[in-house]
Amino acid sequence: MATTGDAQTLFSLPVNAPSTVTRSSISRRTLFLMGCAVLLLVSMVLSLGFGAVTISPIQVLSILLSRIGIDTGVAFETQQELVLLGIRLPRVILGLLVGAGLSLSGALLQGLFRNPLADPSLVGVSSGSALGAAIMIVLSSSLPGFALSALGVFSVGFAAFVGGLIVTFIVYRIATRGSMTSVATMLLAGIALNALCAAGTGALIVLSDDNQLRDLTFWTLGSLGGATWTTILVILPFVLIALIGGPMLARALNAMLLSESEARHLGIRTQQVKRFVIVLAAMTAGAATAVAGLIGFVGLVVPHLVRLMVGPDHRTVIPASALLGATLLVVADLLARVVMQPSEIPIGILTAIAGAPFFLYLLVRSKHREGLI
Amino acid sequence: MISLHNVAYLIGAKALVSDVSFEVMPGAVTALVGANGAGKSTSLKLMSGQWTPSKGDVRIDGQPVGEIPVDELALRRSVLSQQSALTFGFKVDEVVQLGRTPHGSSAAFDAEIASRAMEIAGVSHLKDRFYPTLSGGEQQRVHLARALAQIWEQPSKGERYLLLDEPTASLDLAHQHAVLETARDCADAGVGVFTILHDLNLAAQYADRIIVLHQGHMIADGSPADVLTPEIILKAYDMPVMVTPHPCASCPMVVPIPGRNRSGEEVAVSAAASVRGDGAGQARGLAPSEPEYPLPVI
Repeated sequence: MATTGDAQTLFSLPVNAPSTVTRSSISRRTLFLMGCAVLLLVSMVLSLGFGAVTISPIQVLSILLSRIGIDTGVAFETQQELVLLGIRLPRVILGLLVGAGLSLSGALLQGLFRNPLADPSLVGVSSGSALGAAIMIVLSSSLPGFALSALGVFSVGFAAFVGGLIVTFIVYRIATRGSMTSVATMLLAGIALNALCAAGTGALIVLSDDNQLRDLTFWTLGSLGGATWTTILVILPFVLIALIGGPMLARALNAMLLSESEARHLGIRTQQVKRFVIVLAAMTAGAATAVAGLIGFVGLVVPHLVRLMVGPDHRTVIPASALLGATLLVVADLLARVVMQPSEIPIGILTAIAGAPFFLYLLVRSKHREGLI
Repeated sequence: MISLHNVAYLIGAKALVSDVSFEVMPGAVTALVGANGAGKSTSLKLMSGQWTPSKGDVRIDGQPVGEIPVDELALRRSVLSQQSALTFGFKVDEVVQLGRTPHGSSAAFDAEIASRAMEIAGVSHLKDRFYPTLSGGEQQRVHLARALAQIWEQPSKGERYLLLDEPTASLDLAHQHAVLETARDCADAGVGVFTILHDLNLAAQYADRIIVLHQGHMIADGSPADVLTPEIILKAYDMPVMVTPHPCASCPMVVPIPGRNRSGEEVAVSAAASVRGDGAGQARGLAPSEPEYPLPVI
């Protein structure tokens, strides 16, 4: 033990800081985030270009530039422009927002629960959304004029969003005594309420006719097929708030990984952090589910994957999860559209097919980061 | 100065501690000793602001601890807990830098302080290891480095305090002494050090002042020489001991009397007879030949 006997210098400040170690680790973090951003851009360009109508990356750029009045002289057809701006672009942007929202939500909750297996479904967002959607799909036709007229095509999404928030709120209330929320109780209450919601959804499946059953099943597999500029406007504020708020919680979540009481000793207002995380996570995951149905796997695996690659520091995990979650969903949607043309594969199936093998590979390779599983 | 004044903490009708009053002075090491369940950790939680006393008050530099915002409190005192739930794969270096959370200082500055703190806690060689792969004792020392990094600078307001909950619990002999030497160094640098200890000889050697808790009440408070007497130790631990001068340090040394069980009853005919001169057994009126409950089979 290199105990310095000199009491006077024990707490005196070092004058010059030759911190080569820090500088290299900072640049490593920035480099990783930049890599993720490049990956996202590439996947977006690819996804914009492929489909029933092919548009080359240069054409994609020139169509976009022509919209803001810059003529690049690259030739493109009107049909390409219509497809790009009317169908592909909203779809790719929606994929980006949904992927980023689900991954952010997962990253925040895994930090809060100190559990790498936590995801938005844990606090009841998914099961509540599914129940809400099932109620709307199955019961709306039997209740004349029920909500449908006012909300139109958004009625299922709206019901899903409300259902997710209600269930999360109940879970949160059950786990809160006085001014303290028990994270362990939340986990258990979440499991119980998930089972209850699943029972409700199951009962509605029994009541449903063939068409409703088909709608419901496809909804639970997720799709970006409903993408329009309007759906983007619906989800955008939630994802933006999480994108800004998430990184602000990063240092607090790092401290929370030690334990709640240690985080308080480090000056973190833990109850506030818990409330923020739950609200942010439930809102973004709820909004994502409302516009795209249930897309599993992203919220669980993307943050986990990031930690396997760069460690558990939330200052990296949160932004990188958003970028990689967006990438995963954009790529998955591209595959969903082109693999079985002209029909479409539900995206939930593809997020699992694309993500799981890579995740398993990392899992087997990175045994040295013990304690992650 | 951290001061506890007539502090009690109740859970329902059960008092975990009651009528506890003492001070932790900057520049000194204050040790709290007592049997399991005597209320030591409760006292520490009340001092750190984690729990609010049911009666009495806890003040840090004259200010009630509950009224100090947690982020300001974090600049003035750090806490080394007994165990940490950390299972995520942080590197040692990153864990120590978590101690810099309450400070708004630059990353380079924090890294430099962390590396100095790791040197002092003797964990520099572990800095690139993953925390979950360390042994319990190594993890404990990493957290000591984190606690040091947290109170590295003199705060703009008040003094600095280091609260340690059994810092030597999972350490080997050499590291037990090294950690307490570090605590001593901190006190010499002006920090008020408060530590819960089980080993009375470590307390005797490193503390300026020892407080003894027994069933939630204080039964002694004073210098090691005043507090570490066979009578007080018998009362606190239900265990007869001899106290002799330390052969090479100017402090008392506590030696358990061999051949006695916890109630001072003789369990075997042994050399204990020759040292049974302190009257410990008699003090409680126990007849060695009439045990109150079956003796353990040895």
